[in-house]
Amino acid sequence: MHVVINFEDTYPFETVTPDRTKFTFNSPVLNGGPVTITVTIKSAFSPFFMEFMNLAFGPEIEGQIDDFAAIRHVNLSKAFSTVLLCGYDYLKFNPEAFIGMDGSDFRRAYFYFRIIQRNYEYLHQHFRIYGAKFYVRLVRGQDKNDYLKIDPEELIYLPYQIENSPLIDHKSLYNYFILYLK
Amino acid sequence: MEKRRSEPFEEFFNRVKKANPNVRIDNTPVKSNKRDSFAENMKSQEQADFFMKMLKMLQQEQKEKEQKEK
Repeated sequence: MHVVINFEDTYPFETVTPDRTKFTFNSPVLNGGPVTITVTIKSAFSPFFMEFMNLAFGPEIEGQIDDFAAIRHVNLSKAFSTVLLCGYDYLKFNPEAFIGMDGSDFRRAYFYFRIIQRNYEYLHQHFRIYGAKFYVRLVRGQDKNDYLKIDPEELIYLPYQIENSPLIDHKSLYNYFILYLK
Repeated sequence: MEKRRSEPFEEFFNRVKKANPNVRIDNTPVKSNKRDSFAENMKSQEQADFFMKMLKMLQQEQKEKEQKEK
């Protein structure tokens, strides 16, 4: 799946909010009809970042975003370009802020990583992008009494500039992506 | 450092209206993501304390390992 990010080729927004924290757009899907995708940029909290803005997207079901939904977009490049355009619009309104994108599972985290790498030149015209190895992996399906089998680096917030170079090994996979306006 | 200009709403709205003249302003709030996001978990003091404790423990282990290697 080769995703090309282009802010000139996006789906039009159906709804927006004045503070640019919620957007919707329709994306045609392979199994028929368009699906309305909701993008939210919401305040979240971590002991390391403190308050930060988290970007999430997916179909809205009963007022909640399902970011695990498997959507077969007709034009994946256009859908992802629209999602990232929401983040870009938010940052243009809040130029001092940064937003984070969390790969909701390993597959998605790797997919986002590849999108950033493949669109390195284009994205770096608009954003400063960092990848973080993050303790987020811990909270997924882990009981707090479980023995921890993890890389200590994942317990410390370490931002790395994402380079346009191949992924060397599994450990270099970032699972959280941070975007600042350039 | 110079504070950067924030794009005014009118400018933004005119731009999105060009792409879709029927675009609406909708302030309906969205609840958290369907899954229990780590961000939500982190709002709990108990969780935050747990991770800080783990972090300190791992840093200590790392320090001890480094000292042994020396």
